[in-house]
Amino acid sequence: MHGWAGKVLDIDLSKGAIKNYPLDEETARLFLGGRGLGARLLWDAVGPGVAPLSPENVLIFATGPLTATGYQTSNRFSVSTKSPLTGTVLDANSGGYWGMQFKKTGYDALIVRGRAPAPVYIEIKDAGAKILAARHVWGQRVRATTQTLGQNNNKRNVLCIGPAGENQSRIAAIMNDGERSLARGGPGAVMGSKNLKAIVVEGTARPQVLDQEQFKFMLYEARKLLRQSPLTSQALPEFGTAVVLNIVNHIGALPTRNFQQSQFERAEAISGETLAEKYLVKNAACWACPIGCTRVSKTDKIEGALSGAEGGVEGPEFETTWAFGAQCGVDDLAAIIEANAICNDLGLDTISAGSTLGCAMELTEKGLLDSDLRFGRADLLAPTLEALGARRGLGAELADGSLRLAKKYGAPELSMSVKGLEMPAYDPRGLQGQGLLYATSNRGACHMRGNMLGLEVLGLPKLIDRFQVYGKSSYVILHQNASAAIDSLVVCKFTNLGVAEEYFARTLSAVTGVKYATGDLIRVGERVWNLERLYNLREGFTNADDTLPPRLLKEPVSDGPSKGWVNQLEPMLKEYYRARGWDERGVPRRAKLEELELGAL
Amino acid sequence: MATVRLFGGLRRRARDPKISVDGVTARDVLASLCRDNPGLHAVIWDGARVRDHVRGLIGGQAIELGRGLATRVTADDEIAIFPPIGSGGNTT
Amino acid sequence: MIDERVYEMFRDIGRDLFEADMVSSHGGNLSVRFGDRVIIKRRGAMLGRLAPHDLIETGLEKNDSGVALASSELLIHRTIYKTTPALAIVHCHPRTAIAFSLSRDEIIPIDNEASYLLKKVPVIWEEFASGSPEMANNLAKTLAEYKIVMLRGHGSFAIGQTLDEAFHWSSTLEESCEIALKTKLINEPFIEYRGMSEGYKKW
Repeated sequence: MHGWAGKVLDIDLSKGAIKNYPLDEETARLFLGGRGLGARLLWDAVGPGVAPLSPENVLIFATGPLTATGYQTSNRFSVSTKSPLTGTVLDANSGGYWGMQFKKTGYDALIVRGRAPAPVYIEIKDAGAKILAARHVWGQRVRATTQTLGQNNNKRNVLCIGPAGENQSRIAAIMNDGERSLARGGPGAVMGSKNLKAIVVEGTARPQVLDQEQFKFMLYEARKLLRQSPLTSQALPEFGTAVVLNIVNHIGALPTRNFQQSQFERAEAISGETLAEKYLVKNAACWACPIGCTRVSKTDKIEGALSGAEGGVEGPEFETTWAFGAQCGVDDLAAIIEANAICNDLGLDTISAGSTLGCAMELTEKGLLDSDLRFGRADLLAPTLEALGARRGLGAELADGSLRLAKKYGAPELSMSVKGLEMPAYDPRGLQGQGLLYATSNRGACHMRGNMLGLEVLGLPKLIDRFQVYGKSSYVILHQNASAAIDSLVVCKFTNLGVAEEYFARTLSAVTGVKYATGDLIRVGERVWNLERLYNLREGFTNADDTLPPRLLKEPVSDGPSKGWVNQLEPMLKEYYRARGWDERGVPRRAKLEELELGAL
Repeated sequence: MATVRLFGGLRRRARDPKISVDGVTARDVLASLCRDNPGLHAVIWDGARVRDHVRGLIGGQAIELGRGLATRVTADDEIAIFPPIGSGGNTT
Repeated sequence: MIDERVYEMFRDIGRDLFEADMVSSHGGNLSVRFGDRVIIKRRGAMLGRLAPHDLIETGLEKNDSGVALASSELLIHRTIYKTTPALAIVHCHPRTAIAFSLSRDEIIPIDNEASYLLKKVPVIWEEFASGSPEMANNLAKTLAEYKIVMLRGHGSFAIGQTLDEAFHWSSTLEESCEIALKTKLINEPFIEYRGMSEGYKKW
């Protein structure tokens, strides 16, 4: 096969059994790799009734046909599993080096099953895989584990969990290359439940590219586009993802103090501009990425074991800045940078961690929870996160996310989540389409499965009215499908800010020799989206789960440019089901499944 | 005098991120802003049009979805100008 | 009743197309897909002077009220929406592009802007009368691969997420063809300034 390595590695930790077998070509054609391939393999491997933290759940690490080819941002990979946070199908993806390195060991995907009797790590080289004892790193934090196991630039790469994953926090991330994360939905807890501390990869086999000449042309075109796009050539390199914080706040869509307000009066203090001015050390980039949006920042709060290159730490990204900033009413950027560094070292999802803290702050202020947490208490971020990772004291209450916390204290409506996954940094009352996106996203509220920021705020490719309801479902569906396709290639969504899907389709055709028109690639995304929907329906989810927290549906924004708005979910959702070819209960119709070659499921 | 707030890389090209500017319409305000801060001219204007990737908001609402550059501006208004953090819409 | 913002979008793009000489008084068409609905210009309405009642809303799959008034090209628009990711369609009659379509099977731009945006525009032949299912399928299949396509001797179909976007491809094509026409007047050999430009032929 070209593009694909053509092999799947399958490791059962209970039995200590390692096997490999060919990747099914038809499955590869239909689902590509990454998120799509992961969802397809998960469909067969983990049925209803399997508890996410039991040995019967699996972890599927998957690359795609473009991974490691050298195409711009072809460094990414994903993990798929049944989420311990939401109970839905889950995939999370990450950049850095590990995905590229894993592909070079000669595999497209790794399936990990069972539970090791004692802590282990897996080492994969060209010659094969080994299961090794991990007693010496169990209990260590992420940075230490990564170093101990021999992280070496782009030659040997380490993926691991930290204490939060070992303690099976349902918001635990899997970390790779030290500071990159597969964060959302708690995949770190699944890894912890398997007694699997780390996976180390070292490979030399570059994937085969069928039409070299055409591939070179596509590389050239993408380079040109990324240079010409003001986003990928100026805004992201200069300010990182936090560049959007000021504009999101300005329009009244930056959720503040657990979504009680939609503007943060101290936004400027935590903006990308301030980060660049006061704390930025340098930019960094993932493998084969010409954009380089990664921040390396430094404050005097970070020293010793927490700090990395040049005494700095990667991040914080926009979402993280929001989660520990506006969501918690905190305007101290240094404290946010520290909170981000601690999450990375413990192996925690920063969005869920920050949002859960914000939820706890509101529960406390409303007298429902007895704690010191209050909005604005920057000084409590670091100690609370340490307690959370260790499941100690109040931390034990927070370790399983905001929904379980808010339910326990009698106010589930104060969890700002969808299907149990904490919402990212956009208030759906100020961005109507984003609300529909959150409500229908298969892994719970997510801004990476299609994001309406481009259309509703930035005017990418063209501006549409953010308060418009009628017709919004079309845009949401297109972006959901496109993002599922991009997550299956796998490339970085920021590439897509300069390079359109038609380029990806042509590159995919040149690399694999399988012909994909632009429409075919988007259709792969639609197929993946419908498969994920079927998975959730099989788990017992219904249309009643396609909703938003009541605050966003019933409490109008009190002030600012989004004043008076709630999210008009109901009409958008009805239109969405019809436009997707689903029935009024949100179940895909037979004709739609046949059209997508999913009829056999 | 309306208040103009500049964001991102625009700040490097102006004397202050927050500037008071005279003008009856959005077009006047932008023109007079660029007269006082010539460094901004090339990044905001493309001939008589605002550059495709520059985003203008009055009171948090996109200028181009309202009356465009003809939008009337009062002394209480805050006009925010964002450089390409994306964008593309035509503020005409 | 058509949403006011939607009407304004149609009105502005329609007027721009007419003023740019890209349609005759009654030629061309616009549509958008909203969910499982299609909004399209009424048969016989003038693109340069669209009024709210000139827009018809109908189903993506099946007909309902108002369909008798819809453009005869409704079949084509529906087929495109079902076959491609399009959410908006601009159909117009760009004169220079039409002239080139008479002698070429594909239009490969030589100017920078269109090379950058379009790479190559295929020309397909309308063997059957406008609006036949065969033609609709052929056109839609080509649009799954290219964002703008010429029908020989007839005009262009462009797709996008919004009408703005599809209009952008359409006007870029016409501008490119006018430049190509002018180079014929100058009639001097080209100095290639674009890297890897051979790649456009294979696009």
